[in-house]
Order: sequence, then C-alpha cells, then structure tokens
Amino acid sequence: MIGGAAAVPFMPAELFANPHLAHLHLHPQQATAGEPQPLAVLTEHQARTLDAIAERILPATDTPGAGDASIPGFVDRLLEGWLPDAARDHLLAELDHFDARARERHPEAAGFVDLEDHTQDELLTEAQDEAIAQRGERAFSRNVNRLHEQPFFDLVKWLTLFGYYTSEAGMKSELGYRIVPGRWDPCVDIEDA
Amino acid sequence: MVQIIERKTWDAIVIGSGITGGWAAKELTEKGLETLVLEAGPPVIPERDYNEHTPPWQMPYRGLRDRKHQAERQPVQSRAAACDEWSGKFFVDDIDNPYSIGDGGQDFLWIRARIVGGRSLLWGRQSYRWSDLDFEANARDGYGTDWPIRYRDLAPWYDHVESFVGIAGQPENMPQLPDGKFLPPIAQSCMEERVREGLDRAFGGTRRFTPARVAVLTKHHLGRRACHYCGICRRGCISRSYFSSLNATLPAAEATGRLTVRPNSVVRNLIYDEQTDRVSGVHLIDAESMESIEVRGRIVFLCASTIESARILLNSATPRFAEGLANSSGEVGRNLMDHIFQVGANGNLDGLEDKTTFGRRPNSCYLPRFVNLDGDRAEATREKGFLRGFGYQCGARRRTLWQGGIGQPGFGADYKASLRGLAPWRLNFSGFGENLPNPDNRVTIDPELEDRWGIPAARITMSYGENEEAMRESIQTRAAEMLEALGARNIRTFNRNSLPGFAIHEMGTARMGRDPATSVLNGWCQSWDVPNLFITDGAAMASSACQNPSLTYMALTARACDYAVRRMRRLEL
Repeated sequence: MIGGAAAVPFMPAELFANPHLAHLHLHPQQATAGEPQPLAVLTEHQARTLDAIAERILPATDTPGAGDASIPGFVDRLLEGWLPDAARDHLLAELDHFDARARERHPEAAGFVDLEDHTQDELLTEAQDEAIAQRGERAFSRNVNRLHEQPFFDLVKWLTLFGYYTSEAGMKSELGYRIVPGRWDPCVDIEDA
Repeated sequence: MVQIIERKTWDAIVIGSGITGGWAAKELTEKGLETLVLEAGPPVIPERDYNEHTPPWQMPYRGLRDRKHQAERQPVQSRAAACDEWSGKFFVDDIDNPYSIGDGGQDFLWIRARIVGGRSLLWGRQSYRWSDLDFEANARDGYGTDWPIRYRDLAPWYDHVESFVGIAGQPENMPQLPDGKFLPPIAQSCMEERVREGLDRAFGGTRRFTPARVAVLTKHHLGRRACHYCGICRRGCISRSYFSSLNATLPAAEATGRLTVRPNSVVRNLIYDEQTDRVSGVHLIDAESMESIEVRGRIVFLCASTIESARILLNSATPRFAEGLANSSGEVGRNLMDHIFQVGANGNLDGLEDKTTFGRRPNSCYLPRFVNLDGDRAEATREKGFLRGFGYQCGARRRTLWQGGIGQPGFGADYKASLRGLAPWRLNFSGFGENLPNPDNRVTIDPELEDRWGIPAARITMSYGENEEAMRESIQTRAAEMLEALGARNIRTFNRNSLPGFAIHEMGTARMGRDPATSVLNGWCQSWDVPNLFITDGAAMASSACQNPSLTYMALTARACDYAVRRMRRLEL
C-alpha cells in the first residue's frame, strides 16, 4: 500500500453512516467535490455574485482561480450551520449592499456579475479602501463572535482565501498538495516540493 | 438493581480498550486466558470510520469544525486541538459524560474517548523510556512516595513492548532518556540538522536535538505497513502504521481466539466478594439498552484511564471498603498529576531559503531534559527555583504564506502570486514539565451529579503549585537562550498557562508504592487490598516525570500481566 494513492482509496461517504456511533453525533461526511449541493441560504444571484468576487480576489492564472473552488457552496454551508446569526445577517446584507452599489453605478448591468473585470476590480478596490478606513490599524479578527463587526471586503476575502486554499483546485494546483505523499524527504529544493 | 447475571466466568476481565487495556488483552489472551474486554463506547471499524484521507474539501466546514455542535455537546472536548472536524466524533459527548470541579481547584480539562481503542487512536505517539532519574525522584526529594521499582525492573518490559509497537527513534546514549529497540528514525529536516549541530556546539552536547521517538512504523513491521506520510494520524490509519489498540494489540489478541470485546459497556462498579476477599466480577450498564448486567471473572485488570479508574474504585465501596474499593490507604483518587505545557519560545532561522521538506511526517523533534540531573551531573545542572525537570517537543518548519494572506493588503493576480511559497524557517520549543505529586490534587465522587447512565460522576480538584510556576519561567528562558545561541531572529516566548488535564497525560490516582499504608498498588500494579485486582493505566504512576507516559504504561501493563498469570498458574490468586 505504501506510496500508492490509488491503493488507499477515499472512504465513500455512505460508510460513515454508522449506527453504533449515532449517539456520538457522528456526522455523515458528504463529498462536495463533484456535483454541487443545492443552496440552502444563498439565492442563485447571491451565489453568482460571491463566485465572481472570489474569482477577482484570487483569479485564474497559471493555476485555477477561486471561481473553481466552489466558494458559494462553502459559504452557503457556513451560513446554514456555522456562522452566528449576527454574522450571517451581516454578510448577507453587506453582499446585497455591495451588489446594489454595482447596479447603481452601472444601471445597464444586472449586477456585479455582469461587469467587466476591470470594473469589478474598481468596485472591489473601493470596498477594500472602505475596509481599511473602517478598521484602521486593527487586523481582521477570525474570532467567530467578532465576525459581524468585520468589514465586508475583509470578510469576503477571508472566506475566499480559506475556501480556495482548502478546495481541491487550490490545494492540488496551487499548493501541490497530495493526499498520500508516500514518502518523507527531509530536504528538497523548494521548486520540487 | 442487576437485571442480568451472565453465567460464564471469564479468566480475566479487562476494563477499557485503550492503550493499556489493549496490551492487557494481548498479553493475557496470548498466555491462554479467556479474556473479556469491556469498553464503555461503541466499536470503531477502521474501514468505515477512519478518515485520514478525507481532504478538507470533502468536509462540510473544510476543517473549521462543526462549531455549533461542539459548543452544545463538546464544550470541554473541543478545547483539544485533536477534537477537530475529522476526529471530533471519537471524543465523548460532554453532556452525557459530566464531571465537576472541586472547591479551590483550577478548571480541569478531562479529554476522553469512549470508543473501542480509546485514546490510543488519538494519542501523540511520542514514546520515551523513563530512567532512574524519574523512578528515584520521589525518594530523592521527598515529594510523593518512593516507586517500588527501578529502571532495571522495567527495562526488559520496555524491550518487550517496543519490539511489538515499533518505535521510530535514534539512539542517543543519554542516561536520562534510555535508548530502546528502535526502528529507523524519521530523518530531521536539513534545518533541524543544523539546529542539532548548533546546539551541540553551543552546549557541549548536553542539549541534544533528536528526532522525536514515535510509535509509527518506518518500515514494515509484524504485518503492519510503513508510514505513507499523510500526516494526521489521529484520524485513524488504514495502513495501521501508527500504534493503537485498534491497529495492533486488539487484532493480536483477537488472533488467539480467546478475546471477546464487549462495546457499549459502561462499568458502574467492581463487585467485591467478602467471603473470598476477591473481586468476583463487574457491574456494567449497557450503553444502548440501559440494562444492568453483571459479568464474572477470576482476575480484573482496571485500565479505564486514570480518572475513570479512580471513579470506578470510589463507586465500588463496600462495608469493608467504605471509602472505595482497594482504598484502605485512603490514597485512591489522590496525587492526580498532568504535565505543564503550552509554554516555550520560538524564533526565525535564516538560511536554507531554497529548501523545504516533502511529505507530512508524523513527528517532529525532541530535546530531552537537561536540568536537575542526577549523579555526577547534579551540581552542574541544578536549578535553584524548582525541583525536577522538563523536556521540549520541538521542530523547525516553514508555513505556507497564504495562511497570513488576510493580513496582506490587495487582491488579484499579483496578490495571489505573492501568497505562493513558504515563510522562513521557524524553530519552536514547546516544553513539557513534570508535576509534583500532591495529595490534595484528587478525584472524588460528586454527591449529586450523575452521567447519562445514572453513575455518580467524578469531581476533580487540582491546582498547579509554585514548583510548576517556577518551572514555566525556566522553560521559556532556556528555550530563548537556545534560540539566541542559534542566532534566531524575532524570538518570542510564550506561556499559555495550560490548565490541568490539558496535556492529556493525567496520572497518579492509585499509585504504586512500597507500603500498603501509603499506596494503592504494589510493585506489580497489584492492589494491596484485593489481590486479584490489577490497575495498570496512568493511575498506577507514583510520579509524572516529564516524558510522555504511554510507553511506560504499556511496559507496566505487560509486566503486570506476566506476574498475574504466573500467580494464577500457582493458584495464588
């Protein structure tokens, strides 16, 4: 088995439905890699807006961008079962507010998603400037009870970064992650890692 | 109360299936005993429940944990780093398994796994021998009572368990950290090799930076496969490369045909027979049916973990043992210890900017104790402020830059490119320090609180004292001094004042000793009061040393099994 990723298969999600562990509140683990899950909280339009923002924050270059990282699906999960109510309401309201501004500035467009890259970047730069003005010297806080106080741009940037670098696209292409490295090499050239 | 009495009398009943229960099961069955293992929690089936190869993108919260569930059901367990989105299911439900804090005690974090395999699934795998520096410590300074054994008593049993477990390690010929039967070590990174050389130069070889000795296979060993360096052992290991009951001892016991594991069996109390002066069996509650069941055995090995074993004894009071079974000394529950940790220092090291490592190793490095040594080293290594000592778990690594990305302004292609790559090497020393035995640090039974199965809950009263406080200072100072000697930059000391219990090295509630008046167990982990009762988990420890204790528990267990079976064969139990 050593070395071969193929020989150490992923465990299929259905195998985790273990009645013996039910009282331990074992959670069925769902494969999110393939087909997208239906959205629980976000509207289709909100999801497309988030996807577009994420792609501008970490665009496709020689590796895939955050648009290939299912950021809306990840954020939707957090909205549904993870974020405190205040942070959830804050994020949704600010997302709508951000998109409303895009429509206001560009009435010809149906929203942020319809704009050209450089126009999207202008709106994001503005949001970033506002975030810096709002928080001043303070750093972004990941503290879950402080998330509702974070500026929209910082929040969406954090979600994009975390979502991308934990996605299949981000981990495999950008970070060179292998589930089963198969060996330990204590000293390699950085280009070979 | 008992609804069902099972007729069969087992040769041996082992309570607990963790690191020591697994060893008791293996040794006793291999010596011919029909053995029943009682485990409070459900079975874990590797092919179904291990999830070490499930990547973050297949987890609902990508590794951010099921926060709301943990806040509601695992407020204590989720304090442990290991209780993450993958492994959280292996830890207990805090609402079903309550305990209380005694007056005057610090908050105590009791981190537990009630599953077949116990915490051996989740342990850090660090495996160090103790030495006579440790076994003579109580006698030397008068804290606690003298260990009834010395290193020479345990050395062959360390050999015995290491040969089966498989420990990756490097011999160093240091008296305070005896070498063992090692598999090849996991090589240190190129930066760590430099650190080793630098410390040897600066401190004349007294501060030895060695690859951490871990119970992980670096080559095929007794039917188990070598590590494939996927990195996060505590989620399970489908190739069984790290040692756990589930990966190694229970399968070995199973192979004898003499093992029966009864999961979902929450032990309420031991049953003591006044006529024979022996334990005759165990009273358990079936975790699912809630039925009350009695099982019978000729000998009992109590391996439920330090606090749980004390709780079971205290919940097993009888007319003769009104203060708890096997407790004529009054020492059951007392002298609870843990290790101080989350204290140390780190700093950046220049050089080797173009180098990194490949694979995710299951260990890091270790720097053995170098203060308050014994013999002809005593004078030169004496610390004024405290007794005993500490070691460091340590290592040099490079973080990925994206982790600091939120602090970097900007977005877009250039921003993304700026997050590619690795931060400079950072060397971290994280101390683990010995905790003096103190009779006031103890487990009692809460007069009101009960667990989900109606069993009276433990009350834990424990505080760290001045010795531990002074040691925390030295741990930081000594680490910073090494970083300075290595020319590190941005040196930062840290002390998070870890709460008792948080190192998850709890020990000492039924100590071994030389005198039945002041100890619970003799030199064979045998109860002074009840000769067919053996306690071989952390409860047996008379002091805490500063090394991770599991390897010593394993050696003590195997040794006690050998003794028990010899006595049984002579019809002396």
